[in-house]
Amino acid sequence: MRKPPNFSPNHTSSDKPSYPNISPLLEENLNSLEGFFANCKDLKIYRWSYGHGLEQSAFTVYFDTLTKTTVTNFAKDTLQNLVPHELGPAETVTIKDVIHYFENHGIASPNVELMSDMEQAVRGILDGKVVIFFDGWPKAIAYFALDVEQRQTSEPITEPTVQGPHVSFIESLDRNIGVIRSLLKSPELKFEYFISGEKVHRKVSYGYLEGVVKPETLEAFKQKIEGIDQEEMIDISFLEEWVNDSNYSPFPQVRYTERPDTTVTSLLDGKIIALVDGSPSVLICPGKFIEFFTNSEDYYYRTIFSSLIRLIRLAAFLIALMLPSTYIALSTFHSELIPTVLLLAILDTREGIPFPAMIEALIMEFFFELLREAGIRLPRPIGSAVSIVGALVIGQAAIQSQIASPVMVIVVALTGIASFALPQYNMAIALRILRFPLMFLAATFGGLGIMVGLILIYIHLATLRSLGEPYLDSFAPLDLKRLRDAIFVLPRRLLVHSPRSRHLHKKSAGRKKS
Amino acid sequence: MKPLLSFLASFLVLCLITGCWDNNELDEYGYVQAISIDRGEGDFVDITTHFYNPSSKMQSDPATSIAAKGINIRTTGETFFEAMREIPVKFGRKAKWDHMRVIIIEENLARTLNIREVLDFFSRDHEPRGTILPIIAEKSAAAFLDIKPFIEQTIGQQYRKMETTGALYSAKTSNLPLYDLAIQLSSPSKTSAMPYLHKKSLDNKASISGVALIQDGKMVGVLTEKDTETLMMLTDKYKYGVFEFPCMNHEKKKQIYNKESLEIINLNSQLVSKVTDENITVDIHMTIEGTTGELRCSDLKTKQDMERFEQTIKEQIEHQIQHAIRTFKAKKVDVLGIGNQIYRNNPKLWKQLEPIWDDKLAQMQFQTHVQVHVLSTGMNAGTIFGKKEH
Repeated sequence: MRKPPNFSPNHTSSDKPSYPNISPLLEENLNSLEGFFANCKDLKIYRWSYGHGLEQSAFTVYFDTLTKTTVTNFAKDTLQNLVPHELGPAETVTIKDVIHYFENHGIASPNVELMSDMEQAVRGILDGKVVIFFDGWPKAIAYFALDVEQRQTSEPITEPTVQGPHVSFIESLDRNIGVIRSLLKSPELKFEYFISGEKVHRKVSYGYLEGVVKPETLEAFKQKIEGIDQEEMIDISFLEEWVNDSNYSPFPQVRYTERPDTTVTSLLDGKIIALVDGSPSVLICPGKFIEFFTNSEDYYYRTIFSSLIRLIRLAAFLIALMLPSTYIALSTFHSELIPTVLLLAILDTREGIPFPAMIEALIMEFFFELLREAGIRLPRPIGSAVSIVGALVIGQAAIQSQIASPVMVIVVALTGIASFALPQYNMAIALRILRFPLMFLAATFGGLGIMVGLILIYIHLATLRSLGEPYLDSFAPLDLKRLRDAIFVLPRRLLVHSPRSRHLHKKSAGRKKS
Repeated sequence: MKPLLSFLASFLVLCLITGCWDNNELDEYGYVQAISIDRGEGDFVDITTHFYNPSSKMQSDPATSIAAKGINIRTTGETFFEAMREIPVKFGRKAKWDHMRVIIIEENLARTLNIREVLDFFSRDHEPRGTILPIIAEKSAAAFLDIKPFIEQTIGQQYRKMETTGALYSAKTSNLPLYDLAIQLSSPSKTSAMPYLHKKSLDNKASISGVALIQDGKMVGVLTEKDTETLMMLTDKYKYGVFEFPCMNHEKKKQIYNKESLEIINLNSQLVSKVTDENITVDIHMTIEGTTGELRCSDLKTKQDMERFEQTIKEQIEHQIQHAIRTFKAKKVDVLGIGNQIYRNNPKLWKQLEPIWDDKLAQMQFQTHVQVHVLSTGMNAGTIFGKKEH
């Protein structure tokens, strides 16, 4: 197995400062630290003395914006470790005691670390550690004391559900992994770490369930993210383009979630998850086509209801992709295909509209996209005003001034609503993009054009791979057994015996009888 | 890069061969809803095309907009195509035939001109559908297009609905799309029964009832509503309907209002023809199921009553069948399709019979085997409304 990418200290980079070793002389250390943290006014350096006649000197260094030093006196703690049952100025302690104690790992407090070079110390300070240097010892000790305000866990904002757990991830990597571990208590659940970004220096982690994940997929994932430690990663979505097999495909190849239950389910399905410190969402890969129509809530309802919802979502997919182009094709090329009475109704609304159906559709779609974009970006109180004005402009005024026909407004509105009905926002974006070429094809070739467009989309989907696995998995190549959880959700009893990964069967022999 | 380039190249080529020639906005066409064909002067045919007139919903006044829902364009020419190509000159839009509902043919034209020639255009052109309903109209056909629709949006749709629902629920006319007519006209017996549009004397309103008999492309006569019903029964096209029959109580037979009715909900009939040396005999097998529609004079209290009741209905049906057959024989038309049946079973025999078919038709023997089942007496018991059950 290859080693996962790791932050290496002797990495050669031009703008990288060179770190000296920790000097046994206190003053030298102080000087070099002040060199590193020049103008960092929130850095606190606190000199103190101890031992017989206070002859031994030391200093503590930390960022008071990062740590909780006001609560604990780490200097005092250190000395108390050495001299049990004694209070006061620690007169008997010498530097030899300090060295002897810490070099032999006589560490009483578990969050004490030994810093053997200056780089480690500087990184430690930046990570929110309190570092103590002693005179006459070329090492330092560090206490982990990070204390930055964090958001409380709340309802998932982007994926609310009626049934099921109401917990979401927060912006802390450790807390998030802790939540996952507490929900999936198996030693087979592995998390690997690496540090990404020279400046942001964020901890990134990816996890998988060993024995369930396909080894080839995991290998492909590791190969893909090679070199990502150069990336200044702000959000987990930075990882997406590294993992994607095709970055120019409109279709998303990874999923995101902020729900722990979805994460656990996908781990059980043999997926790889990735998290980064400071981002509340979890990236799930490889993403397959049908997974973008599923939602964790599907599994909390009974089979009939969730199957119905899946069908509705598939219908929404087709509507969001094809409704405007179908309308254009039918009205400009194939008016004979519209039932007579319906045609008469459409004729009534179309008469007197100055634009061809294609232009009309483009105008209305553009209005709609504009409105959507405006509504998302604006602060909430103004947002509602925009939607009211927009609805009036698009709905009422456009019809009354005969710029657009009511049928077209229905088509555009239905398309928009249908794209909102898809549980994964990424997929809705893909449809938003693909809708327009289809509309052009419909306006130039009619139904034939739509067919050509759909065939091209289908060819693309069939060739698309996600981490080496076919994107249309369980449809193409067709796997009837796995279709149990595709268009319909079969009852739980049938699903239990077919978790979607073959590897799980091999591993847990107790479940498989035949 | 190569696949991308080739894709772009092929896409560009694709754009050059666009289907823009076929691209027309909805409002570039006038949508034909109905067409009427009359005899013009000399060799000319007069065509009246009824276009749908889309009126924007924004023009508020409903009274005017409904009145102007249809536009009639009258053109004339020696051939249909010529007459039709004259339409844009008078109308300003190209006619779109896809959504035509009915073709109304003047009776006078149908009697003198072969109907095959009249309808040729509509089956040859790719736009009109095979489901258009051709109708024979009494007197002038164009006049029927001037009538405002009663409930539908256009008069074409109105006539179409009148024909289809009339044929389904009252069996007083036939429901005959263009392609069925083509099949019937090309069949060995060359006979067809087309629906007949006329003004009723009761209220002088247009109605479609009865059928016009077509023999070898020409109209030979009109069947009354009663005979049409019987025709529908015999050809097994009867779906639902109401059957009238006289009272079974003899003492009441002489009264004025002496008819009772049966609502027929299921009717199956089969004609079996047998050709012996000289004669052709046809067995008519018919089973009728229904419920009593209204009672005026009968009391249906016992099983015997019911049997007598069914017997009365049966006699009346047989009576009507005989009457209808006499009419067919008098008009020398084989609307029952006996000739077709013989042709299908024995093409060689048909070749011998064909030259002398008119004689054979006149001598044909019919035997009726009718079964009537009255399933229930409806929501009431078998007594007249308000009469006490004993």
